[in-house]
Formats: sequence, structure tokens, C-alpha cells
Amino acid sequence: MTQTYPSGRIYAAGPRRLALRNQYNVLSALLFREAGMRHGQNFTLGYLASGIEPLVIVATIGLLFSALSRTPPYGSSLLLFIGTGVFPIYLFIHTSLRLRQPLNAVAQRQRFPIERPFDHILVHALLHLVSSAVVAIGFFASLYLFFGVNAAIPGDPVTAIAALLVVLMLGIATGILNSVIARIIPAWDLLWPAIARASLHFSGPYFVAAYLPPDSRWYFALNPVIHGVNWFRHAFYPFYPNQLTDYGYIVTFTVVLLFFGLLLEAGTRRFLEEKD
Amino acid sequence: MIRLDNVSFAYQRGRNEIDGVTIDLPSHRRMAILGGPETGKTTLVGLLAGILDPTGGRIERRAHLSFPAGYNRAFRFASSVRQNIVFAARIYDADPGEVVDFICGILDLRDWIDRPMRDLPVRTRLSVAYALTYALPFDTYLFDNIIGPGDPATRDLWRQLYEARTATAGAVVATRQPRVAEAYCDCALVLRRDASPLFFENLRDAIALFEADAAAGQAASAVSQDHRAVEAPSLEEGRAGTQAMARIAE
Repeated sequence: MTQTYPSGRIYAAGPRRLALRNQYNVLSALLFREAGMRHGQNFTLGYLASGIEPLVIVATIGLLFSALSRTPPYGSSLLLFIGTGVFPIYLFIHTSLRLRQPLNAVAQRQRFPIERPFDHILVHALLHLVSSAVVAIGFFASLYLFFGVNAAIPGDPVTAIAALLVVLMLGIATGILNSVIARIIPAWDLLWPAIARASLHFSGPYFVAAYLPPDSRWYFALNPVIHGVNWFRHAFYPFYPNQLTDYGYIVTFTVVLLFFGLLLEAGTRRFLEEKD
Repeated sequence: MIRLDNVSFAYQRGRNEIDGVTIDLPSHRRMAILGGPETGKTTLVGLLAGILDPTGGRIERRAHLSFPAGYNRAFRFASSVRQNIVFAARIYDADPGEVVDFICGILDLRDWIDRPMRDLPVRTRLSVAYALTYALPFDTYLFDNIIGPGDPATRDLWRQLYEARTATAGAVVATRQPRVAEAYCDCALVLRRDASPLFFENLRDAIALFEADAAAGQAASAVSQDHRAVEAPSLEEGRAGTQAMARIAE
């Protein structure tokens, strides 16, 4: 047999470079594979397909408000106002839903030992960010181009990106926490999607949180997503009322949730491995 | 070198399968792990490969260790055989084209390479998994009982692959058959129940200890009619189809 045996390329490198190189290999290979897959099935652009949902919600609410002939709650464009609410909320919802998968017990067994769960979390988060960004940019760009909404180009893009990143982190933290809860209480996998989607209406997609009655306003303020939505809207509306925008609250909430999610994951890992 | 530092492992809150093992193992030699039934051979290979995490202690790998040979859990059944191979080659830092060519060179996959993994017959899938193990460049190849799957016709093939790969790399072969250890290895780690494992530079000494241990164990079980000890070999026979390969026709 005259086979040439494939050889490694970098084994002369030191251990740290090797680890970095391995990390890079795993992440890049996973990124390209997971981009074309959904639930282990081949589904090209599967991640973009999840962008349809916020578009449908924006269209539904927009249609409803037009039918009731209501004026936009803020600014001059109804679709822009709803869009600036629905897109960050769906970034949170979809991230928190999808990031349960990488830590799922069955998925963990169907891997090469070199792939760690957090490689998968990172890759899924990145794919979500990219696909949401593509759909959102498409939406706002078409508002600008075809509906002539000049405000659809954010005046302060840095704020918009910062807000989306914080919302993404909140989604990741919730997703990690959910994956652990779902393994302890399996029914959580059915409950959480319902809760997450219902929370859409409490996160202010079609109202201005600061204009709520003062008595109930502070209950709404407990929901961290509403702060993310307000934060995102500041990028589009320079004079958006900021009485109910607490950057510290959502950041603290995210950090605490992430900390407890990781702590719970590490603390129950052995228990859950034995349970499954 | 692979350094085990007080490593223990238990399944399902059972007894410790591996109990506080501290030992240095060579990574660039052909080492057998000899042990009777239920001494933790498979567990040790799983721990070395990283598919099991130790309950206590830590493992320091100063070499690039493979997954256990024939590991096929990571295949995505909806993807084609080629996609699966390319993915494995990418994460293990080999050239995907070379790996695919290598596997196509040793197995006849003309009809299968672009079909989904789930369409493959089970035997072919297993062969692909073993061929993939040999195709990827590792410092140490891990084997659990089996060097290559299958029928006598392909026996020489796997043997050749093993010899060629271990000419430059190390191997760890877990087995309970001294003949396999003699054929494939130069040194051995002997696992014993209720005693710490011993490493032998010389394979002969290892086999002598292993056989003395096994004889003592058999005598003990004959006295106490320990049904677990009788059952265990028949369990292993259940996988005889693939295990047959590990026996060498002299």
C-alpha cells in the first residue's frame, strides 16, 4: 500500500500556541457546519429563517395599529417604532431559546472530545448575532429606501451596537440558565418558549415605557429587556424619553444572571450527567 | 507524556472505577492496558481521550491524544460522509482533502462518499470511523480492544495502518488478551481490581503478573461462585463481531 499519511502541521509549536490553534480550528469548523444546520438537519440559511419571525410580528402589529388608525406612539413612522422594539426583543428571545441546545445532554454526547460546550455556545451566539443583524439591517434599510423614513438610519450607531450586544449577552445568560433548568425540570423546555414570547408584550414594542402611568411603570422597569429596547431606541430617536432607561440595571442583571448560570452549570454538571 | 494526578472516576455513584491513580504514562510508545473484566480499561481510555471527565484529580496531556479509535458518535447523520470527514479533519488540524483521499484510498466509498451518513450500512460507517482515526495525525492513538473492525478480509489492512501510524506515533491499546498485547505493544500498564495499576517497561513481566492475577481471580470466583465474574466475559462476547479483529491468526 502506497498511501501518504496525512500529517499534522503545527505540532512543533509550544503548548499555548497549540491550544490557541486548536480553539481556532474548532470554532471555525463549527461555524461553517452549524451555519447550514438546524436541529441536526441540513437547512441552508437556517439561521436567517429565524429572522422571519420578527418581521411577521412587526407586520402584524403594524397592520393592527393601522386598522385601528392609531398614530405612532413616538416619532412619525409606525413601522420604525415597532421595529426598534421588536428586533432587540427577538434577539433576546431567540438567543435564550437556541442557546439551550449546546448544553443539551444528548448533544453533548454527539461530539468529538475536542469540542467543548462553550465552543458551541460561542458559535451559536455569533451566528445569531450575524443573522439578526442581517435581517435587522435589511429591515431598516428598506424602511429608509422604500418608505422614505429618514430616521431609520440610526443617528448614533455605536449606541445601537452596544445595546444589541448587551441584549445578546442577556439572551446568552438566560439561555445557559434555561438549559440547566430544563435538564432538572424537563417541562421547562415547553414553558420557556411560551413565557419568552409572551414577555414580548411587556418589553415595550408598541408603547413608550416612560409614558406609562407612574404607578405601574416601576413594575415594567423590573423587566431588563425593556431597558435594552429603550437603549436601542436612543440610537434612533435623539430625544427619546429616558426616565425609564437604566443602563446599570440591564448590565448588572446580565452579569448576575451569567454568573449564576455558569455557577449552576458547573455545580450541577456531575449530578445531571448521572441523572441522564 | 501523560501525567495522571490522583485521578478517580465513578459511574452513577457506584464504586470508584478508577481510584486515586497517580502515574506517568509514555505517550510515544506502544503501550497495552492489560486488565481483567471490570478493572476500568475502557474507563481509562475514555478518560485519556477526554470523553469522560474525571470525578477527582486531573490529567495532564503533554501530547495530542486521539479519540478512542472508531469513535462515531460525533457523526452528523444528515450530512454527507465527505462533510463529516472534512469537519473532523478541520477540527483536528489536518488537511481535509488529504484525509478524504486517504480514506477513499483504503475503503471503497465511491458510491457512498456524497450520500448522507445515515444511508451507510452500519459496517461501512464503522469502517469509516476507524479509517478516520488512522487518517488524522495524532501523537498517541487510543484503542479500546479493537484495532480495526470487521471481517478477516480487511484484517491485514488495519494491521498495516496500525504499524504505519505507530512507527512515528504512540498507541495505547486496552485489552484483556495477552496475545493482542504481544502483537501490538512494547510495554504495558496492568490494571488490577482493588490494587493500584503498575507500569512495566517489559511486556513479559506485565503479562506474567496479569496472568497470575487472572488465575488467582478465577480460583477465588470458583470458590465463591461469584456470578458477576462469570457473566462478564459473555457480555464481552456480545460484541464479538468487532472484537474478532483484535485476535490475530498465527
